[in-house]
Amino acid sequence: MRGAEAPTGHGTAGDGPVIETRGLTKRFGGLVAVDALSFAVPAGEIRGLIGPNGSGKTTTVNVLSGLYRPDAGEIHLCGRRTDGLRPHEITACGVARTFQIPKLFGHMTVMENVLLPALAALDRGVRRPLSEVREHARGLLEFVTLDRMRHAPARELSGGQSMLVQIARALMVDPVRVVLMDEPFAGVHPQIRDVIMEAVLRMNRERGITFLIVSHEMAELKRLCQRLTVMDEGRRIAEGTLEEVANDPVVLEAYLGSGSGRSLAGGR
Amino acid sequence: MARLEVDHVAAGYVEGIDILSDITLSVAPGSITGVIGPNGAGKSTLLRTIFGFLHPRRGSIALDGRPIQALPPWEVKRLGVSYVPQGANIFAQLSVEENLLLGAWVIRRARAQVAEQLERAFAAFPRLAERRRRRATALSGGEAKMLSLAKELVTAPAVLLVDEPSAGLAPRIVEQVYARLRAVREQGVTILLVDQNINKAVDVSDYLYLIERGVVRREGPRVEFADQLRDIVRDSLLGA
Repeated sequence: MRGAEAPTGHGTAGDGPVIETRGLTKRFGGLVAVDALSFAVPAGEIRGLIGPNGSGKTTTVNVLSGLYRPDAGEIHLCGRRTDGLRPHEITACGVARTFQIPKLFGHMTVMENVLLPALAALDRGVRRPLSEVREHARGLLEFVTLDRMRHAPARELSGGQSMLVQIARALMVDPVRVVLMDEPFAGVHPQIRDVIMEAVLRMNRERGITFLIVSHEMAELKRLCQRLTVMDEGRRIAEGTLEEVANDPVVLEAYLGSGSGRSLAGGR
Repeated sequence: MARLEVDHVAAGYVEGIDILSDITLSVAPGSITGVIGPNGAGKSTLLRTIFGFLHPRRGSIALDGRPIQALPPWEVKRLGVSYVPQGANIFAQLSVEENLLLGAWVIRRARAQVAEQLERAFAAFPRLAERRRRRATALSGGEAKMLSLAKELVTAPAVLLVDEPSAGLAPRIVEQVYARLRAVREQGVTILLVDQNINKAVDVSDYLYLIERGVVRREGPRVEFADQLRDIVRDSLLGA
């Protein structure tokens, strides 16, 4: 693809974390969905974020991407303090994301959906020749095996194909240094899972992009991730290689479900 | 004979993708049978397939030896199977009593029976009796969950399919829900329970199945599972 420039140097070791939270907290009424969460992901890593249902993983991604404002704590993305910034401002820092239920504009074509980040960049005054932008988008669509579908309205795509469009669109953010993915494999056809994994591995290797991937699919995470962060009841309860976290008694207890319900304020 | 028999069932929503690939399980009369497994294993799809929302692509499902895999949900319900989905499956704008009457829809012509079942429901769920004429919107989360359970019991089912009964509920309510399931079993109702809360499922079930990616990975009586819970979780995390 066109975007296969030489590694940009973003992802080289020693750059420090590109994702970092300190005491991050998000409440919904009495429910503490994210509870004083501190964690960091170094540049160039593919990190898995796992945990039982309701442990706060998606909320964490939603707070990181600016969809929700945190109630407390700090977020540093790509070296900038981003808590309090709006989603588009966070994207402009080089942070893109995908959603578990793909969010595409159904009446727009696949190509138009992928072009959206370039349109947003134009709005920020970043001018690139249209032909170059289109060529980049085509390259990304080819990369995720959807080039033939580029003129189809997005609503005609399967769930897995929509996920691929979201990934192409995330990679269209320029420059993109971090991609947050929420359950990219859930309900996705095995063939498309392979395309997604290949895309993540190649973008990480060739462009040094850092990934944070929320998933329950352990086989996929095993192939992709160097390390996993484990959440339960809004907190970070463990971090390490798959072997390490899978043998951690605290993690095992969390997955067994204590029966104590979720982290209701004052309920523990 | 098993009350409910699921034999090599495959099912899914989209062509070419099986959510259940090959599920064989059997539910003994009067038992609580638990099905555990990670997210996306197919637990909810299993219940939806038994209840007739989905029809198996392969395999068969039998209730007391009678094949039911081709029947629509209302027929399955008439044969004595009730289904309690996740969350509160109630009509919020209707009163508690009207909700129970709708639960009794398939037996609505047997008026004496309906009246008797309603009284039994109110005896079993005193909080609902107090709120009989109130709209369901006035109920707390726990009361709404109890109503959605009571609503599925008014047909006096032989089999109750229960999906994630503790999801989203406060700890105190969770205890009440499982206590209620035990009481329902004491009355002779057979229960097939799917649950993410492994500790609770193992606690309440007589026999368990572990499913992953649409296949049965392990089965056995409660004691066998209780000893190996940590191994089960570790294996499932390691994708073994």
